[in-house]
Amino acid sequence: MITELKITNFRSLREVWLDNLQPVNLLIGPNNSGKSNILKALKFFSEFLGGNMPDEEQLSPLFFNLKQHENHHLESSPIGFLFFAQLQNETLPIGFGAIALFHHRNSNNELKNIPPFSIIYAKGKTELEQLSISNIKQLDDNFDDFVANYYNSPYPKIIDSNNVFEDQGIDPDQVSFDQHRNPIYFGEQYIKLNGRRISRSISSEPKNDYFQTEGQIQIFGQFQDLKIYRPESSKLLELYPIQNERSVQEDAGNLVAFLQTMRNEYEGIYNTIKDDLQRFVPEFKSINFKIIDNPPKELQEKYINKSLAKIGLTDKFGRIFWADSLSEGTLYFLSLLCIIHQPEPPKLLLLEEPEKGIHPRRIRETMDLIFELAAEKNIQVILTTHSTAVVDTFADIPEAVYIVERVAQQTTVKNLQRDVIEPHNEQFKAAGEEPMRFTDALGEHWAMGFLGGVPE
Amino acid sequence: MREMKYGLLCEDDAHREFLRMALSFLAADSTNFEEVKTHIQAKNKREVDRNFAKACSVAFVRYKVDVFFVVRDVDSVNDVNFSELYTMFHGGLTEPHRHRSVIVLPVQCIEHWLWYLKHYNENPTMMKNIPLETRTRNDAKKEVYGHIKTSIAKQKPIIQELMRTADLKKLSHHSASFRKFHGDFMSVLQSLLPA
Repeated sequence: MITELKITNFRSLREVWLDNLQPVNLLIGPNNSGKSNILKALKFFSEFLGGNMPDEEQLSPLFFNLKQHENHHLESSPIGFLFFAQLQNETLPIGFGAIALFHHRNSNNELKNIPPFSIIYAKGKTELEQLSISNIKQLDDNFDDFVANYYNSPYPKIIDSNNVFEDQGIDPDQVSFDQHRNPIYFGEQYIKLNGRRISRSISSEPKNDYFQTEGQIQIFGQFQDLKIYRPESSKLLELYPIQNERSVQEDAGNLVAFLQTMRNEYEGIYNTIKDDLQRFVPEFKSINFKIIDNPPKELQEKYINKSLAKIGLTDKFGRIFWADSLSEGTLYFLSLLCIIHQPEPPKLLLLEEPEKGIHPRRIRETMDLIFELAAEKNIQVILTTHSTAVVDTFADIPEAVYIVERVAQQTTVKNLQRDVIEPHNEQFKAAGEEPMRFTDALGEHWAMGFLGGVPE
Repeated sequence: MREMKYGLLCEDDAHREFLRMALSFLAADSTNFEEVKTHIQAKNKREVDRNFAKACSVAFVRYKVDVFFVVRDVDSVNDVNFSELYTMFHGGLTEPHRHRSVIVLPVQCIEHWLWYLKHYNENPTMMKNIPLETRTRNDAKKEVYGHIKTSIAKQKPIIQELMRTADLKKLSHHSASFRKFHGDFMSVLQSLLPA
């Protein structure tokens, strides 16, 4: 489970730290505060680990524009990720990794990405046992700033990160990268950490092996194939080819194929989805599919030699309601059930506004499903909401709620329990006032503005 | 001229605008009032009822205001309802803040006070009290804004214009609920100003 996550210089996230992540976490705040950017940053990191390095044009708009806000050069600030994770079957050790993407202009004022610098793995928060560093071509002020930034007390301090190449007799400018932007390693890298020298032998072969140990595999596995789920009921109205699909797309546009696959190959999951749907929307008894004989020409061209089908639900009288005559809320809820119950959901589930289209009285049950999913399948969830009913479901775990706001065009994040409720009640205690029981009506207190995270 | 910061919990922005204009009018000789943005906002009466005491404490403790206002439409012309509400709000405020708080309870809604002001403008010579507060809330809104449902963007200039020329002395005379607000406010203001 990821326990802490720090993101720097990604979109509106100048520097945000979610440092007490729980199995299920909630981001709340006004529109355009940066909630979605946190999810996008995680997805970006996932894609990056999967080997998808964006080109200059794609990467450029992702950088937080320091120049605009602090009169710094954009190119001097890395996109960075740092995370700590609690490993399964281990109590104390915590792994962490960080990746930075540098952005700069060369002497011709051309925008260039510098491939990532990464600190891949370490154990423990106060003393590192293992550290591997890759791609330290940019061992310059950027590196020092970046490392110093991440290693603030109480975390380990890197004392001397200079002259790594020089000590090895290597000219830093000679370090090169392969066509996939992976660094070509050579020599031995070392740094001193809290006075202790950490070193690692590296090969001269190009490599991209972030996952070297069981711990690393566990940690980085959390970020594999992340999707930001935002079901779009309009997508369910469209015809979709019947084909084998075991996972749900971000917009849930492939439910026809997914549900067909579940029905044919994962009967248990299919029945669970059907039963949950009936529990929440009792008027519908079963899920149906209809193959369309003469689909529109453009779809035939798009899905050559594929049978196209649409989805429908049957009521207790045996009447079938095809997608275009079902309510958006019903379609959205069906999508949500498929996302939750898919056979191999991502280890980190990112979900935007799960309340969309769901009646307020059904929201608690929906959230119960999400909490159950996290507990039973060992999945971590980060979701966003604008619903007071969703917020109410976190009354027992306010430490899992993060208040996201935009201050001076930067996203700021506060932990509800530690940064909002506790300081509030301490201030009140000092003033001789009674503490406030915000969690008695958490959603209302949030929406009214007692806890922050509301529009101006 | 003394500067004072005030906190506010009200049902809607019409309350906020009315109060802003009323304070500048009522304390024009002695005090400049400025609302502190606490970002605490109710969206209905029940939220005001449940949270006024907390909003008041937050305003004083966290935002260090000089005075706090709670504004809530009574929604009734019944004196008993007014008294019960007043007692509830007054009793709900904690001791250190009660004497620096003003409870504003328009009978039936704040648009009735505005309607009186509009009526004075349209009938400047008429001295007789027309008991507008017995008329419905929708009548008052329609009369003041032209429609029952209007945006705050349209309400604001109307409120400002009516308050700009407001005869609040006359309003005090005709509306018991405004008279109560006026009296309470002046008394709190008096207690806050140096002797």
